Amino acid sequence: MPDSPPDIPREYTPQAETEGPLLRVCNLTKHFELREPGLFGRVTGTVQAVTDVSFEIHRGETFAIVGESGCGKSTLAKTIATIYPADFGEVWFSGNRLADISTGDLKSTRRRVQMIFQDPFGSLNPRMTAAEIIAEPLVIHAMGDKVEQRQRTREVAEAVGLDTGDLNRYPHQFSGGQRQRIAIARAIAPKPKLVIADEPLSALDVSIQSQILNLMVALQHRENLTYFFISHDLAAVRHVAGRVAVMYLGRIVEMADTEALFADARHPYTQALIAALPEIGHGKKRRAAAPAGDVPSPLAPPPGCPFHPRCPKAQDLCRVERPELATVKKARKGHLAACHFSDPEKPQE
Amino acid sequence: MTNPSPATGIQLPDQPGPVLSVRDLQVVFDTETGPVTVVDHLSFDLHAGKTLGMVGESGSGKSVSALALMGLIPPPGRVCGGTAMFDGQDLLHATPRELQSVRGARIAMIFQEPMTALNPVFSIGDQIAEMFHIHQSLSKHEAWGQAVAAIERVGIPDPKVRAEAYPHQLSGGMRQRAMIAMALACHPDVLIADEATTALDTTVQAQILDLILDLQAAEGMAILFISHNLAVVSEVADDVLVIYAGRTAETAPAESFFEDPLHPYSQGLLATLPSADLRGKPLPTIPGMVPGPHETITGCRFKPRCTVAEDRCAANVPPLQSVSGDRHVACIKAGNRSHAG
Repeated sequence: MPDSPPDIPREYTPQAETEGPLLRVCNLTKHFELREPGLFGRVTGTVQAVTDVSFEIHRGETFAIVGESGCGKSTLAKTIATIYPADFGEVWFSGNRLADISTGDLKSTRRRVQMIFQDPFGSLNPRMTAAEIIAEPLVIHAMGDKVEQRQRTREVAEAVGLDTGDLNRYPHQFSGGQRQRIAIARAIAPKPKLVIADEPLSALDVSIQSQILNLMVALQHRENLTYFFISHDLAAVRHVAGRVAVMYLGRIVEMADTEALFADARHPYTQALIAALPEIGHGKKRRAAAPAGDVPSPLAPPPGCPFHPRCPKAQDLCRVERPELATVKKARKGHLAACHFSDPEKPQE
Repeated sequence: MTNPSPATGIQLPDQPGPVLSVRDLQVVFDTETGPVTVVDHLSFDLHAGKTLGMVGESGSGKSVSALALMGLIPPPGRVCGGTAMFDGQDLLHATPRELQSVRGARIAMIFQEPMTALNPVFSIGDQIAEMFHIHQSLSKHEAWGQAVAAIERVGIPDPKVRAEAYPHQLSGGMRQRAMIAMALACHPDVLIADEATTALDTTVQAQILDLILDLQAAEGMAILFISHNLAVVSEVADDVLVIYAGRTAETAPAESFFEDPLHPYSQGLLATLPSADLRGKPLPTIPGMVPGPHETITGCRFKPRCTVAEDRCAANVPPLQSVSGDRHVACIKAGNRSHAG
């Protein structure tokens, strides 16, 4: 295992460890084996959930991953949060490689990485009061005494807009939006550095989504947070993220500053996602044909470029050779795409 | 669709009136603390070849109204008023047997989650064939052939093979196509789509919306498209009905609605959507949340969240009044604004 981070394909200036990126993910791979039932069941297939994913998240920024269901974005989040062990590749958090951290110290790293989940119904323990839920990470990580824990609980409850008089109630007594506020309060209570938000808006009503989005932005400034925002909702991602990576079948296919991505998407899949985004003002008329077919099974990703069976621009080259994620020519700095034809002016080789 | 119904003896006019006409639909749920009104005087018309987009948040009563039309309200709930005229027959007062001949065959419904609407132990071909078997009394063999044709019509590749597949063997998009195939099997006059694309991915959602629009163009059915997603509704609807806490807030042709929403709730809903112009700025929000069914609010139910509310808004339930042409709004202030402008 190398001791310094391996090169990853993006323009990166090395800095002192404390000033470098908060999170570095290098060649991260997570596959799941499917087995026949029984103790000695034969392996029948491998779900290639996350393959060779590399990126960095800088301190204070909001980095988003977008992709459709099954693209591996939630597996990526859970692998980074050390819920799943990685098969291959490395995760560096604040200059330390997670694999080097002893079990005891891993707990403190976990404190600094917190998660918010999609479903505020399933992610809160129904037998605990809101106050107990919010205080639980403080108890687990032994942060302060009882009085300090109670104080911090009230403080974050107020910060997320909960009525502190309601804290002795149980999750089912709150609305979906209020429950997501409890989940956010729990996540920020132990003063994390990185908050991984996995589809935090999807289960909420429209009028509540904007409230939670505003809350997350306000908390980012107040608590000095870095966000890793995972979503299928491009409109929400465009609103909050500074940089966006697009995932397809377990791999990042494009990564760029948010504005560059929306104005100048170079991967046909990203272009299709943006075109498929429903928008007001077009009337009852579809404007572009959606890409045909479904996302192929991650059990058997297509050879060559994983998007080629659905890609309107696919050529013979795309069917045999998988394009690497590489810097896009004539684009803004840090714009990467995994497409043989990401440079529109370059004719086929 | 304007066949005279011999059972009722009512002769419908030949000019294309509404296919389904709902007036003052009222649904209550009997709870321990007394009856709770969840749908209050809801009225709308569905026209052949046209789509009415019904927009509302969870708990607004939009799904319950759809279930009421189908006679499928679960027990503590009951329809306690109104009419729903379909082909000379009032669906709200029809017998279960009468409803059965309409439901599925002439008024079909598709749901958000096809996995729960499809039967996991029968192949999709069997489930679609059952429609033909029951409603058109076809033989098993003929019904299967029709089912394969129906599967082909919704763009599922390799229909003969896929007809043998069980729901869990299909992707989410394919399952939704299978459910649409089942819903459209008997060429219904009315299709009710309740959050039909909500669980789907963006690119698959675009495919399914395209499919629904194509099938409507080909078959001319009326669609009631229920969704919380205004952007999706803007791409499929000819008319829009905004429902809030069981009451209609606004109805309008889609184009004028999205250009100039009149009800403060509609305005708020449209303003909260993230757009390119608002990037990085705080989004406008609607304060508070949808009132629970138990909360008694006198007058306008949106008043506690409304930024332009006045004391007089609490006095009476604002009636749904015509403001201009085919636009109606249930807000005393919006009416004034329109007259002034």
